[in-house]
Amino acid sequence: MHDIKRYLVPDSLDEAVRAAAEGDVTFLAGGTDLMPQTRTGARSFSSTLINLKQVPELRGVSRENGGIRLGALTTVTDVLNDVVLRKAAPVLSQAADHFASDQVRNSATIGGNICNASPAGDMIIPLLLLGAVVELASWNGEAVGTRTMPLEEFFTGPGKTQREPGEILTAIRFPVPGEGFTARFVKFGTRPALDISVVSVGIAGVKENGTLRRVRAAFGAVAPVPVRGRNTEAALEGKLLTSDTIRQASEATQEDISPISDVRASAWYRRELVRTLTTRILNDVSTS
Amino acid sequence: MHRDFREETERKVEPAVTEAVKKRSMMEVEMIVNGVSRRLLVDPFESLLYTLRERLNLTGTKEGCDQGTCGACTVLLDDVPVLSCLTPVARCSSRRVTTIEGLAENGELHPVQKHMVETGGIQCGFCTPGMVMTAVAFLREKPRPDEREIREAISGNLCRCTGYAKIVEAISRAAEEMQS
Amino acid sequence: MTRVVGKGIPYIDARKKATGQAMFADDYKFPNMLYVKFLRSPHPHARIVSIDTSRAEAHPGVRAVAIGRDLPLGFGVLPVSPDETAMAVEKVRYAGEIVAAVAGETEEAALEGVRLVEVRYEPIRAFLEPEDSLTECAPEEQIHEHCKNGTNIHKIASLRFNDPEAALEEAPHVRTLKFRFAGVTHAFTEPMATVATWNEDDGLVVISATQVPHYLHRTLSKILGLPLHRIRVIKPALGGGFGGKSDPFPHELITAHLAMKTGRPVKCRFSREEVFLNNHGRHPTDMTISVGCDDDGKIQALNADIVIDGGAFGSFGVVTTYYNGVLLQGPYRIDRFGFRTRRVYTNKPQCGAMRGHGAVNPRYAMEVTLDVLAHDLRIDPCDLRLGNFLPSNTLTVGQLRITSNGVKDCLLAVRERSDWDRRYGKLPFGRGLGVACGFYISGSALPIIWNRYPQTVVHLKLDFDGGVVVYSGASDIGQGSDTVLAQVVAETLGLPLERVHVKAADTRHTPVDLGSYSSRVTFMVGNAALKAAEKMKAEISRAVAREKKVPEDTIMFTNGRVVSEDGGLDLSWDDGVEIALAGRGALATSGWYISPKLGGDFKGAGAGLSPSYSFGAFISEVEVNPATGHVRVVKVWGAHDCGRALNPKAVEGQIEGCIHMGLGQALSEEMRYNAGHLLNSNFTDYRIPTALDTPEMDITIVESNDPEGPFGAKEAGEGPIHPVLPSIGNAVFDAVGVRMYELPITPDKVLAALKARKNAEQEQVS
Repeated sequence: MHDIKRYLVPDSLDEAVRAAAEGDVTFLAGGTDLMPQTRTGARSFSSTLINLKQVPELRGVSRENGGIRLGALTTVTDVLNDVVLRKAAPVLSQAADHFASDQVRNSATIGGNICNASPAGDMIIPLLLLGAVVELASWNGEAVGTRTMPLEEFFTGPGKTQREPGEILTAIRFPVPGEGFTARFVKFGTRPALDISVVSVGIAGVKENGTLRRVRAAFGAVAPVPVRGRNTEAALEGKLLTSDTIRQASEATQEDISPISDVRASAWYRRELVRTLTTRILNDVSTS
Repeated sequence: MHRDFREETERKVEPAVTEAVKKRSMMEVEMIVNGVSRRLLVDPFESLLYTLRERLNLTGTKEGCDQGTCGACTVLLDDVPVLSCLTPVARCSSRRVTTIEGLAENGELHPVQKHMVETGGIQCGFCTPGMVMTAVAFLREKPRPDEREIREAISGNLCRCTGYAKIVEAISRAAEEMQS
Repeated sequence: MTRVVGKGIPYIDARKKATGQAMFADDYKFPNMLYVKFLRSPHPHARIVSIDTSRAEAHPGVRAVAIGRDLPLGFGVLPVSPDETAMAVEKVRYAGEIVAAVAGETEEAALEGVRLVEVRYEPIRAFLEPEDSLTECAPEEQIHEHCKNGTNIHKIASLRFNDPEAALEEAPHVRTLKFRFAGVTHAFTEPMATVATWNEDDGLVVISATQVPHYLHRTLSKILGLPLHRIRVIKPALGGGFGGKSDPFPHELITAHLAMKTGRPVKCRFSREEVFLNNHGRHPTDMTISVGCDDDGKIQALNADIVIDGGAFGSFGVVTTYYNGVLLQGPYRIDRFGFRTRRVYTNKPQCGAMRGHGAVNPRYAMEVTLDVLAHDLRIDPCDLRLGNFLPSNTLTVGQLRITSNGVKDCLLAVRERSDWDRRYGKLPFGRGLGVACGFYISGSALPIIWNRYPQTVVHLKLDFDGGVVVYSGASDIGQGSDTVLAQVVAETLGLPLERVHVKAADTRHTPVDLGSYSSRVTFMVGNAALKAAEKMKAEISRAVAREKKVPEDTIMFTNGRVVSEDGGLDLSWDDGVEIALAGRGALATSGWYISPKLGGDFKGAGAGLSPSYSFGAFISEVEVNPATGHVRVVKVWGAHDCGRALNPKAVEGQIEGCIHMGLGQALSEEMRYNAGHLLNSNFTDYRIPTALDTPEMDITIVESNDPEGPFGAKEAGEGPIHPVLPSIGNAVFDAVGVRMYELPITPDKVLAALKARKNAEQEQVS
């Protein structure tokens, strides 16, 4: 049921956070997750609806201090088409390409995908590989205050995050990957389009002389939140990418994940897939 | 700050309706629908689909799932295909909306419509409006698509009748016609 | 002299659909209209202790509330199982059953009213698996008290010819295999919608998304207690049915009831979730099949034991129960034949008729079993089938009358087009080909409701404007029946298509047709239209012959003109019309179809009888990823014998649609429940194939020219689905060597089967 008493379209971050500070608010970005959730009653509207579309601070992809900043309102289509991103972080463009359908990509925002905090959120895994941080803004009584937090710490459960009431996720930032950085992302759904991931697997690192360093692994739809694969990373860090290493790393994934059986797949199958896809990715990395 | 917000509507209707309406604040949106400027009083979070079908009586746009998964409600928002069921009408203020009713010009079908008719890409016709809108936007972006690209483009539009074969063929023929 | 028939012309309503002008049920609006919303049961099986509607009624936006005892009479699409009521009366039988309905000034007010209805339930043991329903239970636990033997078995159908058990003992090669099929649903794109109006002048008018206005008409009369002539049912443009809109539904009865109660127009439209809950889809099925053959692969006997899970109510279930068995009598000659099917009630949304009704799952079992036998005997699966086909003009063991039969041509066509002989069994690991055949009824020869009327009647009207109007009760549900009728009439009268207008599926204005199900429309309504058009032709010929003094039998109708064979007479159509109508005005003719008397003289002999049968053969090529178990269908070659393609483009469309739907059931579609609650009532988790999943298709239309079909035509809408699924299952075997006995063939099942085989091989080695 919606009992919206106020509808606001702030045109600066300052106004947005001030309004948000007044209490009970629902933020509107692309609407693609919010609309169906509210209709099924999974979520109810707060009395104030804030449409963020005119807040300039939330828009655009930019390079700053050796990093990339994605405004929270960047749509998945924008990510897909952005030349800077394609060059600097192709893994992100690739994930965008596998996101739902054209029509949804045109509306869905990167900030919304993150705040929705689905364990299967498509854009989250590549951002974890890139070492992304989220930028949160709120009204501290006198001015706009911001804080940042590593993305991997942001999620606390399905649909739950560290975002405080009144806080707006303004942007996602990540350092531009350096020389030798390689990242792979594989999403497995049984249909090529429209599917929510059965599992997704991402692995990244800096490749030097046949070894991977500064390894990051991340998995989607296999735990209550998108997870970093610490055991998998340890099994790979600094080792020669031999078939033994690959086998050990693929086994190590099993310690990183805690999948459940649901309508999309069984826990057994998710485990098998994570192992298989990890092997496939590592084989690919080792030969390329 | 721009506030399109009213505490309550002033419409005097019979008590029951007032009661129901009172719960929601209404807002005014102005948008250009199929080339015509429209000012409407809407519930800020009603879907564009609802606005089109229920307030503007543009029933060509179909509600197939209201969950953002079937594509039947696809319309163009500033020429970009979106799912109108997932699009809060509040997002559409000052923007251009094109629906299936706005496609044919002076009674002449758009090439996509024409070839959907001629190749048999239409059976029950319920997915057709959304399918056509998706294809029209796609061909603007990609005038010479191959079959795979067409299939990717319409993969967010579900059809249960045709097996997509004749739809793909229709879009491909439309592309050819628009080239020549 | 074909001008219109045999041409792949666009549907006569396609332009309206392409421009958004076609009106579907939800597009109708009336001034002062109310909206209805439903309260649905949260329990799969529970007694209703009390219902309190007072708070809902007191809500200012609510105009009326209805509950079970307002419409207490039982109904069901089949008169033999009137086990359903418009709303639950004393107990609920599935989670999602309608318990109360609220009509409100707005959808929100109606929803608010629904929330204010208070119901107290007392849960009863829920029967969720068919095994549980087969055994005795306490009387108070029974889902329906009419079930015999204290169980939840709804119907047992069994037929046996020439001692199949003994034949299976004698046969040198026998395979007995168990299969399991998940329930699937139609997933048409248009959710149900109904708009009802009531006033003393027009009576009750119901505009509804239905495949069968006639059954709705009858059921409204029964449940609402209104005489039939006070009711008018209109089927507007319909967004797909596939059997899922062929029963009269509770929401239609309730919407009509509320329109009468309030005196105002009332609209109901389903959410997608409600569409899934309404279901009436294909029955989940457990099946054991035994097939025996001789050393040459000649089939000696078949015996099958089948349990189908009907859900909470009967629907078409009694027919399904028979079809599961009797439709295994073709396309192969099987002289020693038997089956038993038991349909059980469970506390889940009910199952009913879905494209290929009753025969899709058994066909999978049969065709996979034949593939296994072919392997056992090292006979090519195509050759094994070719050695067993029924001929044309024969009777099956259960006395189904086969007339035209193009199955052999179908199989030869796909065999050649797929390059089967060069490629089958020889593709690299992970790629495979599979073949399967099928056959299906072209209209049920017996009506559901026994009566003395024809199965369909078509009226034609010709007036001074020179246009011919075809009045038919047939329902165009996207399959193109309006177009086919126009083609038949235009062809017969030698007219261009735009002279012919179709007025269909409006029970006050169109003569009765029994509806769009059992693939009956082209055959039966086509024949009636043909007859009516021939009568019209004769009337015009007679008038013209008299006036122009030419022999009547030399007059021909062609290219929109009335001419004589020798060219002596050459009139425009309009001149011919003026002569024919002189002194009498508009000309009306009528044609009808009555099925010939068919079938044997034993109990159950009527099941599966049809004036004609369609045949088909399909080959699928798949790619299986052995690491993930994912199956991708690369290409399907489909050949279908539809007698004669009145509109080849439409026939292709039906075959292509069957491939899509068969592919979905084979690989990804499945109704999933947890404790009786449907888990995947949306298109994200009920996965119908997208454009990317649907393979390349190579369609061959085989024309066997049926002696009794209109211009030789028979059905094409359902038959082509049967071979699709087993051709995919058999191709998976050819690709990776594992047999899939359960549908859908999801990646986890394939992977598990591959792992099990690997483990078994390793055990053998060690």
